[in-house]
Amino acid sequence: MTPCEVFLDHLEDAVEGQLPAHLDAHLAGCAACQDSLRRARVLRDGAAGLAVSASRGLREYLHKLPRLAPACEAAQELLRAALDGELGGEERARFLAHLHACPTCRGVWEAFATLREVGMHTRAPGRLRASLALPPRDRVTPRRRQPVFNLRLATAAAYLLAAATVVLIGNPGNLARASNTTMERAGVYARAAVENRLDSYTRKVREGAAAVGGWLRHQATSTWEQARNLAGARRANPAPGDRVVTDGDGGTS
Amino acid sequence: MTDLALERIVERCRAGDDRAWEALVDATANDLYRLAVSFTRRRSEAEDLTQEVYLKLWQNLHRYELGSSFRAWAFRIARNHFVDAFRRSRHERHATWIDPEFLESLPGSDDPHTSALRQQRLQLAHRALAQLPEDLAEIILLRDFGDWSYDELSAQLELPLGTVKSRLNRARRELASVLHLTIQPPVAARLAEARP
Repeated sequence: MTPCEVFLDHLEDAVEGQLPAHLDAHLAGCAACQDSLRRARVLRDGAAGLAVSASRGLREYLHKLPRLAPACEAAQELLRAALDGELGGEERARFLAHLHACPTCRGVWEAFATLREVGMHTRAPGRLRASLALPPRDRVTPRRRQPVFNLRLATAAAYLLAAATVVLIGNPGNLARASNTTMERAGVYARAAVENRLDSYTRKVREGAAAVGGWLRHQATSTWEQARNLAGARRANPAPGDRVVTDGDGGTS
Repeated sequence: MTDLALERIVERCRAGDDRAWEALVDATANDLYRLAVSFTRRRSEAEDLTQEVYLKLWQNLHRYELGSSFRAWAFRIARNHFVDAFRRSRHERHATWIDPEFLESLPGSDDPHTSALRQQRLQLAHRALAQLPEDLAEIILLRDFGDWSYDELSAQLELPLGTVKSRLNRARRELASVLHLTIQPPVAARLAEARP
């Protein structure tokens, strides 16, 4: 091992000023090792300069971070266990006692509990189930309900109202110029709204007819199957006739 | 109903058995309807979306791979459909369970005091859930509103059981913290003042 390699092994000691005495002489006469030591010191000083410290604002923010009271923190742990039904007798008593004393934790628990309660009571309504139970091939494509508020219709109504106002209270001299555009727009919106309604009604009638057709087909099929089953049953178990046929020997058959 | 029993029903459905379709609807309608209720604004909207999902299930029944969980498959179809619907309507995710018309249909709603308290608490929960990231809000709704078991959540979300438990734990802790801050506004105000 060369003296330079031995020195590099002790580079950290040299940076801290604790270089073994036998390497001092080598360092004094070796330009390469002096250069290495200089670089190592620069690195150490640079790292110290880069040390990050929290700003004052951040420190203040951290000081004021909302911290729950230790009892509330403990209650939150119990709340999570309570939601999964994993509370033991003693824990349950502790949890209830805290809820009794702390209105905030009680509010948190009530929000969770109400969410769960409402979820448990939420069932698909009977008419929805009945509608879903019909295989889709027997029913028409489900349609979205039309919203009560129709934007296009409302816009048309607003333009008509504006036009009517102008007609009723406006200056007759300006009317011809002022109301023309409004009336045209009102006409466009009204026409669009009426067309929209007509489309909607046509679609409804078409869907209704398809639904009735599907239902009739379904009924006819099931009636036909019932009739066939009945006929099959009759053939298999013929009912006794009213007339008794007497054979030649005086017996009956 | 077990996954195996559901799978048998699906096989019968594919063979054209209408009774089997009815059984399939009975076994899954409440779960999918609850999911719809947690995505939509109104009861009617939730019902329409549920119908659309069942139509999709019917149309894609041949794609379902026997041996996998039918519930997980149906849930994925439903969830994608609901997410698409609320993106299409350019609205944020909503909750039918705060709709007064929906709440009136629940047991106990004939008492005005109970009804008002229920609505107030649900609105509190809704506002707090809206502040959570979507994945955390979703897991709370599935577990605490939809009553899915841990195993079901693991299958449906395609996550290991341990991840489901830790995510749910984190979600509940965050929701509880947001609720705490909402109920105790002075703490929230102090935090807002101090924010750098």
